[in-house]
Amino acid sequence: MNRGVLEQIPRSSLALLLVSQGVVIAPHVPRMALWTLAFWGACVLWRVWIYQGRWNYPSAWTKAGFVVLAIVGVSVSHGIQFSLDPAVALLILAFALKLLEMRTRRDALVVIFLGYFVIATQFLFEQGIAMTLYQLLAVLMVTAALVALNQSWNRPRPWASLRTAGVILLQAVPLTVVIFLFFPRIAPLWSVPLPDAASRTGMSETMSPGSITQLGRSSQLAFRVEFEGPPPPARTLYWRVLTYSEYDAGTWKPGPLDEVLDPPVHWVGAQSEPLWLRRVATEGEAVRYSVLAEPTYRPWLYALDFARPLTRATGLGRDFRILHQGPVTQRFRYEVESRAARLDPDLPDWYALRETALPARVNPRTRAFMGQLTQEHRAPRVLAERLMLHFAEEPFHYTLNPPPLGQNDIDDFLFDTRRGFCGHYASAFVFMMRLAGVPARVVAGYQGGEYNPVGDYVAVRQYDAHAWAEIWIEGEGWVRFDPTMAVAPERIERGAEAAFADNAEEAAYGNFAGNRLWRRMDWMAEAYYFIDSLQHRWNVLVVSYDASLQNRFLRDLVGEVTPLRVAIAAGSAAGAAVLVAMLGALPGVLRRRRSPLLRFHDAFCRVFERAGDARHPSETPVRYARRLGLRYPDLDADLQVLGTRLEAALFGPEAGASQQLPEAADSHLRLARLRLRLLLLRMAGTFKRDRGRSDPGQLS
Amino acid sequence: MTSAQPSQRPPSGAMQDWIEKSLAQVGTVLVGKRHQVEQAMACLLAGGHLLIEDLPGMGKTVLSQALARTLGLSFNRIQFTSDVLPADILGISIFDRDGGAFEFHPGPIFAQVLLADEINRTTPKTQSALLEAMEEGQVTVEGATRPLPEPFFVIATQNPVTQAGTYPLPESQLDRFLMRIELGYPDPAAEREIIRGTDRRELLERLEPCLDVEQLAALQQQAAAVRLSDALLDYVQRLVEHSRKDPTFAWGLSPRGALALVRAARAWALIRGRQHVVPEDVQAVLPAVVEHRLREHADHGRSGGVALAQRLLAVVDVVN
Repeated sequence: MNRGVLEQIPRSSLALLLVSQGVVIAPHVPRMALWTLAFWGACVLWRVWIYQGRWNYPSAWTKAGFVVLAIVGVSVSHGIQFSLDPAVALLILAFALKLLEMRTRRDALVVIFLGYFVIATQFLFEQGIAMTLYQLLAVLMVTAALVALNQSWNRPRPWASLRTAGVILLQAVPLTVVIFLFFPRIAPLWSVPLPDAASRTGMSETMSPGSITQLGRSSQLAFRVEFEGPPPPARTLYWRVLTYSEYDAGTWKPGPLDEVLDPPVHWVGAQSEPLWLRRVATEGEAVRYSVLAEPTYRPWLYALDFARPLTRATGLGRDFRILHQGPVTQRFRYEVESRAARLDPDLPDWYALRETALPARVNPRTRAFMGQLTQEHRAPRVLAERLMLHFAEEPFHYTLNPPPLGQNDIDDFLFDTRRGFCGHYASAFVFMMRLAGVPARVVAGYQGGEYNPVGDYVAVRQYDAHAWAEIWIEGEGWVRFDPTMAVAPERIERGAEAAFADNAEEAAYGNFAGNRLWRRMDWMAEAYYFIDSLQHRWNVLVVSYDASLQNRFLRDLVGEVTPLRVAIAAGSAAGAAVLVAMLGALPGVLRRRRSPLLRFHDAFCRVFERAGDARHPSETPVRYARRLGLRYPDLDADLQVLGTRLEAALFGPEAGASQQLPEAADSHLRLARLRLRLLLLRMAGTFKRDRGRSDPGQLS
Repeated sequence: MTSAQPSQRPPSGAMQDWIEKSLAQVGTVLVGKRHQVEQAMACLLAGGHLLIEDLPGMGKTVLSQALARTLGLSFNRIQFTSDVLPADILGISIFDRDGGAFEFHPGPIFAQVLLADEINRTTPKTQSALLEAMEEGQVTVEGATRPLPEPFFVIATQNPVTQAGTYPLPESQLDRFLMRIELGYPDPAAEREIIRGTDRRELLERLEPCLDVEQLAALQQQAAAVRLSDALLDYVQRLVEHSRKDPTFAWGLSPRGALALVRAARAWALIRGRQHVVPEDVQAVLPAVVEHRLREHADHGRSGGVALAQRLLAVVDVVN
């Protein structure tokens, strides 16, 4: 047999390889430039033509040209930068190009391993349950190509390869689970800048309602919350994210958090509590909950007032929001305890000054209006309630696509347009309160959320984003006022989605319609809740399984975590996993309960099959033994005896139904001798031949 | 399997001699065609009918006549054309003026060896009359059932080249032939001998019978009693099952096909001088037995059976 034939890539493997490459690349497509896809298609077409004999393999120069083209192409469409997207694009192009120099099995192996690698890179972008299932399919396809590459000529069917690959993957599952649970979670040795944070929707650092004419809102998930005990009603859920203290030219910005003596953020585990935190007077019962935040690439987190975070790497800010050390780049789970409290019962002067600061000479009409109003009402609370009443009585209208506002944005909004969303109302309210000399600020965050009865958690989405106001009252601290409540109570009572979905025009701007349709029917609602809770479970149990969770798991398992105990636990779990995998083969063994005669025949054939002389299906024992005798003259005597004996027992005139092995002891002895002598022969053969051709079973 | 009773039979050694002598004698007339002669003999011993697919002048008539003479059987030949009617082969009742009654005049089918030449040239009506007779071993003419002579062996021939104006046998009727063989051109040495030698017809005249009817019946009985091991039955079943499961096969082998395979393999083992069947016997007769019963899915030329038989031989495991 000639080496070239042995090294060729079987047709079914090539087909599976091309298909699986498509499956592997597909999820990357939305991030890739269109030309990359065309490039891959061209490579596939070329490879198919090579297979059909229409074209030849590209020359070295052509290949070099392609590589240069790929690098230039990537730098043009992604820019020259060190980040993930161009790196993955380059990887995929290399993956495609490798097809063009795939001549032998060895090259095909490289392509297959690249395939596994590309599958792994996809998880840098997305780790959802659906994507994971899809990638399992991709792994199955790539493995099938690998199986087909190693299958002999008489098994040319891709389905057989797929089935084998499926069995292999199933067998790997228990061990995968064990490794997932026990393998140390090591922090990355280096990091690649992750996908662009700017492209994410969500809150932003500044708020300028006047310049927004269409508030597009998505149904993307912001975070999920699991309460210990029943969740509070949705209208009381004000998730604080940011506070805006500085107003300038229609834009609200967070103020600096600097305290004079104390740190502006009190991190969990810090030694002493800062003064501003010690002054908070808590009252009432605590609500404990854990939040699983989606990545925002910002440091902020979500909590109800007044929150004390309990998880490491989180902290409480001076403005009573909670923060994460560094941007949240992956799903992050943290525990919080909230209770009612008086925040800042005494406000330092500098702080009060900042929270009342306003630019001069803007919004003159509002100034006049407030001047009149402060004549009548002095007390901050009364004034605030009067303003709420103003919003409720005057023809203000809640809308997601408000008209643009001019230089004097508050004037325009309060007296002319009177149409806006939460940002407009909060902004105007705080502006007016500050005009009256009352410390006030805008709080941005999320309001409400949807309770999922299946998973028993509250899911908060981007369309739940909200802004409200806080004013400081002597002795009471910061008090929340939500002017949107006065204008559009249904927004608070029934949630953003329900409030907007009633209005088709409004709904068109948000992404509410889809979700609404989902839940029109009961069983659909069930399914929706089920799928959402499934995703949540997946995120909690699998995606956010990090070093600390692993530690907790190990502590539950072995008590005190020592290397020896962990090693024993991991070892026995791995052993059990391997056993389970082998258990899958047991029914097959039991089903094919073979007679001793057939088992002996199998053993006999296997000995020589390993040496590269497999029995052809149509060969009877005698003919097989005769062929082997020619191949290994030294072993001829034993071969002929066993061949004749097997043949006689199977097909001879005396062959009975019992199918017992004749002269069992002697036969087994002869087989053992054959095995040993064959091994010695092969070892001797390996030494004689040059090392490049290690297969002694080759006849050429 | 009915158990053989060797005491009532001639010893197998003597039987072996009879077979060898007959084969050798047919071989003097049909030179260089030992394998085909053996196949025809196996077919006869298994009690089946033979279909020969070959060009004219390849020795089909010589083979059948030599077999008939050597085995001491009566021989008839029908040349089929499109206007041959069933009555032409089965026979007809004619009013006899002297006797004052209808008298049956048997047709050429009443012979022990019948050569049905170019069977695909005649109409389906006539074909089915013949094939029915082959299956039943008897003929029904005008209400009266008349048995055919024992043994009754039909050798039908088909011309594979000229298909114009023919009525190809449908699968159901092809199935009635135990084997389909081709004779093929003789090798150069044999051909030289044929060209130089005496006219075949003269040679045929000179052939003496080697066997009598009783001896042939004994051989046929012996062939049916050849032992079959369980492992071999497993092999046959695997062959049949593969033909039914493999999607390349348009359809699988029928139980009749499986039975034919076993019958032919037994006769082959007897010719090889064995009282038990080995896998090689099955493999030897398999192409002749199954080729005309199988068709590939993607085949419209009626030639795929050859490749399918080879596929069965290559893929199906003898032992497993």
